[in-house]
Amino acid sequence: MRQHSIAWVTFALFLASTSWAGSLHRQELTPAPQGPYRVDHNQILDSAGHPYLMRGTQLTDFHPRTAAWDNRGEPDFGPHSPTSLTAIRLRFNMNAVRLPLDIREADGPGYFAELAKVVRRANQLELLVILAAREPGAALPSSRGVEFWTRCAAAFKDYPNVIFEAFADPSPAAVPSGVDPHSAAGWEIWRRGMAPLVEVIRAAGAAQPIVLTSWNDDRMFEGAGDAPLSDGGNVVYGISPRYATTTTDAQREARFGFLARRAPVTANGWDLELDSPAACAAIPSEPGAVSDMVRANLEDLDARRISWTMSVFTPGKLVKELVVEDATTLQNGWTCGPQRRTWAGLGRVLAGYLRATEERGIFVVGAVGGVDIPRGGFANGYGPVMAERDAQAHGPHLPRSLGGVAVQVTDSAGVARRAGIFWVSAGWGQVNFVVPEESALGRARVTLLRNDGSRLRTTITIADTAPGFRTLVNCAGPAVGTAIQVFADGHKSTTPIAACQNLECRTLAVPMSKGAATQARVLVSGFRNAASARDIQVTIGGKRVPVISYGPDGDPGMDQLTLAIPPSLRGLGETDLVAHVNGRVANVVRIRIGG
Amino acid sequence: MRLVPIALLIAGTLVAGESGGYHWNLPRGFPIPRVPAGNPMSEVKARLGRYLFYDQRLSVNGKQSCATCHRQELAFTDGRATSVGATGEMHPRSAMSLVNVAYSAALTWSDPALRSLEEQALVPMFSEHPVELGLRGHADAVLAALRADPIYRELFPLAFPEPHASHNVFTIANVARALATFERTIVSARSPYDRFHTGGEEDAISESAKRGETVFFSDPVAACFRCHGGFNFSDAVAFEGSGAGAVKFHNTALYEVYAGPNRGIFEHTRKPSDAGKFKAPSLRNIALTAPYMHDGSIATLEEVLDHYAAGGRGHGNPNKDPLIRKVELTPQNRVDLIAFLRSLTDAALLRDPRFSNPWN
Repeated sequence: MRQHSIAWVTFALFLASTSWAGSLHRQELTPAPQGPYRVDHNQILDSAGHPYLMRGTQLTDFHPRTAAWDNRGEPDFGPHSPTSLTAIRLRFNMNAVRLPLDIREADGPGYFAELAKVVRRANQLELLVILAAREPGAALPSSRGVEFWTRCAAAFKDYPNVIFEAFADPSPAAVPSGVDPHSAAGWEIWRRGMAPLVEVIRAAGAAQPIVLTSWNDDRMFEGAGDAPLSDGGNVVYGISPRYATTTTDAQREARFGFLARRAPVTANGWDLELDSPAACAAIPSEPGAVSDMVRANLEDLDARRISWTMSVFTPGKLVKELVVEDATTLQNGWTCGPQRRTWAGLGRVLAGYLRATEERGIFVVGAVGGVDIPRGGFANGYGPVMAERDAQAHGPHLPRSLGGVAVQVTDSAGVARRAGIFWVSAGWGQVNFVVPEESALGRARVTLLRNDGSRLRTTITIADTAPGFRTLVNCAGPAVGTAIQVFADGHKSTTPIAACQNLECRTLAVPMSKGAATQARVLVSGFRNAASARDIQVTIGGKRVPVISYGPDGDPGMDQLTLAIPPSLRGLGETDLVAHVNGRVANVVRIRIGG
Repeated sequence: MRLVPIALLIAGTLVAGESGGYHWNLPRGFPIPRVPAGNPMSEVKARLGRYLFYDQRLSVNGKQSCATCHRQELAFTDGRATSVGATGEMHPRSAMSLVNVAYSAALTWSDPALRSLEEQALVPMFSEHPVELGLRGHADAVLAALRADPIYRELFPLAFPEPHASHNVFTIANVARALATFERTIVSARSPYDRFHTGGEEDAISESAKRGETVFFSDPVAACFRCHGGFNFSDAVAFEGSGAGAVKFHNTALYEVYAGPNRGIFEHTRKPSDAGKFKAPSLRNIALTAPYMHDGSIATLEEVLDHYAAGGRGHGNPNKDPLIRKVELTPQNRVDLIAFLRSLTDAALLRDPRFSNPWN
């Protein structure tokens, strides 16, 4: 098992170049979508009647011709792949994605069927989907838009975790010359332009909330006044604020704040427009000031109970590259104009905000990057560990101090315990430790204590279960474990299901010999405290597979999950291995089922 | 020369004494320095060493003292690319800072064998290639001068108590012991970064310096800490309990070919693979110790960053340390790294009366 401990270190090193921006609000898991939704005054309520705030990002546009590529599992995980979607959910603690659609492409055969695959995938991975229709060149929806929504609403009317954004960019150019778009007359034009879309969506039998977006200028809903903006029900109002032009409380109040008190509002975009000279010039040159500005906006949206999907899950925005899923940062600076480097972006600011992690502090995540951490499970702390030296320990009895660093976990009952430590980094890196099994559930404090007397604190949420699949690199790629075949005469054969060399991993086929019962024993974390196998749902290639056993693997923090591989999966090839435990999704990994 | 009552001076410089020996009163996070058994620390010996350190009678012509090349206001360096001896001879290398020298696992830039400050103190006094203080052949005269001074007549017997009053305590060995003792007391740990890192003062350093700390300590970016890490920002440290491992020396690709007599530890080992390898000095007070590198060939911290970001300039040097590799630093990274390095300046040290010239 020793090589596995090394591997945990290795994958996490990919993420170690971090100083995470953050705020001081409480770290909470953003609630998973639970539709159908309805609008009640200025709130969106889920099926249980709980207020629901979207906290998400935008995906790259859906195009039927690139759908297969965007969903690719290898070698670098497409932006619509399960791996990327679980990264959004687990790493960034988000619960929604905005998926732009070009309605001109919807006429092709199979468009909605292919789109539905992406939607189902995201929904399965605890992400609500906002289908955002774009009609390039149109100032207000055309008859083509009406026709699109007739079909789209019919296709998705039974998807409770979908919201429709009827028309992404209504332009003030639709208003006749001489009429102020932000006058009563201007808003009447906007309302009449949006009304047919609402009507056809409802006529198709789709009852989900519809986002109606403001004029796409900097003034947004300014001037809309008290008059009803839409005649339809279940309407959410959309805004796209810009840093350069919406900077003061008075501007926010005039442009959308007033509306958020009487209707739900959702914001999208609000990225740093570095490629726009005028917008970039308005950005402070001090990275800390920009981080503060972004956080101030997020806090303002939170205070107004406004949903948001921020930035884009693509290199240069949230992530540096999809393989590593490493968040971009403002700390290293940026240049106005086309970005020569892809590392300038809001990734760390958003991740820090949604995890309530202090800037440049220690950033503790579960074994697969999730917000909640299982008791008895493996955790990674990223940040300024600054041990006396890089050091690694081996189980089963892990040291309580390593390289001059100790980790103390103070649970919700106030009991402080020293955690066993696997690994510490000398510099800005990571400390890998096991959350004491006896820890009480709920909010806990992690304190990193260094021999020089300095210390760092952060908070975590300890859960009974927080499922994750072990991988050798970066929480993504092939599952790690063994395939076991039991033959009729009783003899067994055991083979690995993944092979790695120089951090490049590939799946190895799970052999499916006829006449043999096949099992896959995969390494996981955060499963052991599930009450029963019924609480664990596993699919391979979308097909449910039985759980034979689960529990501690022997190494501290490690669990095993043994699955029966039904003969019906024989020859499936490489596909996704997906698990939920007590409703919580694990990182999606890859497995290959042989012939 | 103004004379100060000795007893008052000693009382005024006590650093938290302890029964039976010396109490270091070390800053948080600083281990106990390793001290040779033959030269235990004492307050009075450190006081004596301070007088000697600043005494120009310890040079052949009365023009220089240790402090000539180790000026307190420059963190005990001299601000020159290479130092000049009492007779005007140029030293081939830059004067190293004496700050936290008690923790140096190896002394000088590149002598792997020179491990004690007592031995090292003899080098500037008696070396001839080049001449530094130029005392070779003049030791008796110097000791006679010291013996004639009332301060030393009081301090030497107190610093080196002997059972027999007739025993001569005015020896070069005792001069070296006292100098070494004083040098060991020069501990710096009151920089803004210390106040931030171990003192918990969030506002002690700027946001830029905090970002620079991240860059400094990050492997994928600058990885400076791999050679300049730890409490003393150097990988050549020793202290009680640290073991007696080999000291690391690094070839930073300053040159394609290092010329004598600046060929690093090769000058001592004669191993070709050691050519160009020098000690990684502490970065504490680095903003004050320009010019940089063993030969003072780089004038500013900004240029030092350029050197390392380029992966050195002697790219063909076969002994180049693998840690020296081209890294992509953004303009912001550079600004932040400089801010971080400047946050290592211990301003209090520069005017600490415990280390100042007692003859003034």
